[in-house]
Amino acid sequence: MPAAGHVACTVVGARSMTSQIEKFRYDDAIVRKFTFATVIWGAVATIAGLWLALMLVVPALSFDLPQLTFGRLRPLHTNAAIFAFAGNALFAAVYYSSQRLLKARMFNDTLSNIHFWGWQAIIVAAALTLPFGISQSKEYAELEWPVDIAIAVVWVIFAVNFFGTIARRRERHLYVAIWFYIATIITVAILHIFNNLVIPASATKSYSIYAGVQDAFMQWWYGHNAVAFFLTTPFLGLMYYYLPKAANRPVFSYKLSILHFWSIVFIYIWAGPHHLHYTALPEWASTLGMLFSLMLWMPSWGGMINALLTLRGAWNRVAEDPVLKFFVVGVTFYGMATFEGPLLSIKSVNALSHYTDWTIAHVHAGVLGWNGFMTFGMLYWMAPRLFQTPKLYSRKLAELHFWLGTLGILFYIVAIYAAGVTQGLMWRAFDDTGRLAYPDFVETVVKILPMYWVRVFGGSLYVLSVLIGGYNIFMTWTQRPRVYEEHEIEAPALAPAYEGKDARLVIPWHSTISPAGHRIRYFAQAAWHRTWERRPLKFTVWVTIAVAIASLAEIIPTFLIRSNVPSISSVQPYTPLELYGRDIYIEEGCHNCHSQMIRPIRAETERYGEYSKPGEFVYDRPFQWGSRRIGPDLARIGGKYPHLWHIRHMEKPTSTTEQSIMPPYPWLSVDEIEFNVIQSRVDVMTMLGVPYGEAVQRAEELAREQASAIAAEVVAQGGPAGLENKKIIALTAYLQRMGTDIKKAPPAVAQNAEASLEATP
Amino acid sequence: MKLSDVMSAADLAIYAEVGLVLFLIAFSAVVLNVTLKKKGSYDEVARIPLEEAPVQPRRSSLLVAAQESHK
Repeated sequence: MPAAGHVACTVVGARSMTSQIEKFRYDDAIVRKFTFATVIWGAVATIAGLWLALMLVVPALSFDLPQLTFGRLRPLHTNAAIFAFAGNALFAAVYYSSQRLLKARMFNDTLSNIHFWGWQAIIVAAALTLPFGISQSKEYAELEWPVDIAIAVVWVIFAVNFFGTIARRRERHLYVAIWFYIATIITVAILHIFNNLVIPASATKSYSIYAGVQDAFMQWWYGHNAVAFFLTTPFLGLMYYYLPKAANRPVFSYKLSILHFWSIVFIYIWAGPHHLHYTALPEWASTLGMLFSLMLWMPSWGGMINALLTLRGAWNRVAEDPVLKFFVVGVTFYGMATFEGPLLSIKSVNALSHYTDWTIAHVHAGVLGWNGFMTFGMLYWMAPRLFQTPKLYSRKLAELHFWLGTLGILFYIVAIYAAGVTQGLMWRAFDDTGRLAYPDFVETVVKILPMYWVRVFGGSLYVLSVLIGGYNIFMTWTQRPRVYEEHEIEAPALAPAYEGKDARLVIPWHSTISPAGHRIRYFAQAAWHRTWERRPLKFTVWVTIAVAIASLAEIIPTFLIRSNVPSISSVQPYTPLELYGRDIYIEEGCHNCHSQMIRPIRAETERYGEYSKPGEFVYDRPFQWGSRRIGPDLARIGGKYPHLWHIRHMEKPTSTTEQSIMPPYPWLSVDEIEFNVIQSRVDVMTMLGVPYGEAVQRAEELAREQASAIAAEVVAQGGPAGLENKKIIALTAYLQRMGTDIKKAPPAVAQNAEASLEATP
Repeated sequence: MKLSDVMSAADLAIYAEVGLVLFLIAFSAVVLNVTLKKKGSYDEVARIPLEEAPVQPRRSSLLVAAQESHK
């Protein structure tokens, strides 16, 4: 019976008891599919990561092939780790645990299968587009619009299947894990749709409807909450189901789990702007992001402590059971990453850490430690149950997986923390004369290469551990029975409405306490929260409201209050050729290693020039601020070097910077500019409100004129002839334009100046 | 006139503060209520993952009937 406390209860509609006990079976076949997908994509994602780590120390590993450069492969690695590995893991968790928590088979087996195969098709589509430069360039949202639509459709199918199961559940109370799943489904849908609003220019190219500061803001509202609602909430749901199962005891404090849930839903969504400290984002937004990030620390640790205390009295089993070992270390990494996150969101810490490897170490502690270990703990626990074998194929191999994985993470993160802090300190170091101690950026790269080698070693250990895990799960599968037995579950048939006692407030006529007293007591006993917990629709609505209010409170002012983005009249749209060159920059994923955002910090203005202003980015769709500087910032690269320098540098970076770890881009001097697509791109930009003037009619012609002019200048500088149709010219046009507008006089001033010159005798 | 002109003229800064206060009130209400609940009131539902049968069936009266007929 639900605890209604001392509040009087009414019995609602005592109906007949004619219905029968129902028999039903859980659908484990779908869980097995997601399990295999998790293992396979886990191996792919980690091997891709190891390959990238190797490329940073041995750049020749790109073999001069466009599809193998760091810039194009890094999104493949991140998408594979997040959406393929963690995605399939969370679906396996949701499909297994929801059926059991709701005491109902999944709503519709066909929908389950469409979800599974649809999601795998999306992953394959990612693998077939990203290496070919088909990318929106927004981190973790790189996939182009046709794939984005497919994601939305598959996600809706998943949602229908999940909420359908809730509607047909036989357990009245929605267990806390289900709340975390609801929050995941709702919020990921909102984030995905709003961050991917674009206008297509072709089947493989689109432009964001947001520009510059707004685009950056939307992206990190999305990016941070993708971490929150794709890598955190579903895995917390997983934790609240599988940890009690594996420990065979209820969660330490269910109350704490409720607090954990609401804190995450209320607070996480505000934290995104901490990714944009000291950028051209308005300061109030980044301060808000910092404060809410700090507030997240406590509930996150509450959750961690709740999980660890669930094991009280069972710690002796942790030593013997690899499943519990994975969970304990996974939860510990959750605690570590959620302590570090708020720390990194503090502006003064962020000034040092941002754009360095510190962030990379932070996310790997999270994904390898928290997501990876929770996933493998879950898989090891489920494997004998799913494949109906007496036990896991090898407990020893699982132990080996655990120790290799743990050591792998430690080698990785310790080395990369050291690399991050070292590089951050070198960037800001001044000598006694007040000049930059390391003015040559490449010095700060060479210094950390030994730590990159340690990362390769740690990464190799982790990859090996994942392969061992995959082998162990595969071997468990080979011991399966010829035909899976489908265990039959019995439960009372579903009623349209609950027939038990309801926690409604009824004040007895003989009560001596005032009605207000009753109400206060009723409120304090939180029976209303219990009522919500049972009502998925209302519950979902409240989660959506909590998420939407927080989002809108941040987004609306940034978009609509003009003072947030002061315009700069000398900033003009990119020429058609520059726009095309910018698209090459996006295709090649340059932002994966180069930022375009000079922060108002002396070390930065000394190194790169005038700090970046919000008004400089009003024509940037999408924004290219970047989040990591493996190479130097490029915001003021325009005019810094002659054209020929860029052409030589792109062809062979070590020819201009001897110790560079950038891969060569020789195909840019060979591949032809597709002049015929330029007009349609300019048209889309015009549609988005970019004042293109005469380019609206003759974009291609203007592009050809500018390309010829630049190619002629290259020849004049002693470079090769015949480049006027090559992509390198368009890229050079863009690079030479970058960050130069604010140095020019605004058009009106320039005209006045000309007029006054003419007037002067 | 653009929408952003209207919005910036409307001076809506106070709305963000009201939103923040509403957030704090709602959040504190949840925290207070969950904290003030009687000890042990969630013991039953916390066992949901561990039980094969529903802990609180949606047709609870039937479960009672079934259990009684079982006896």
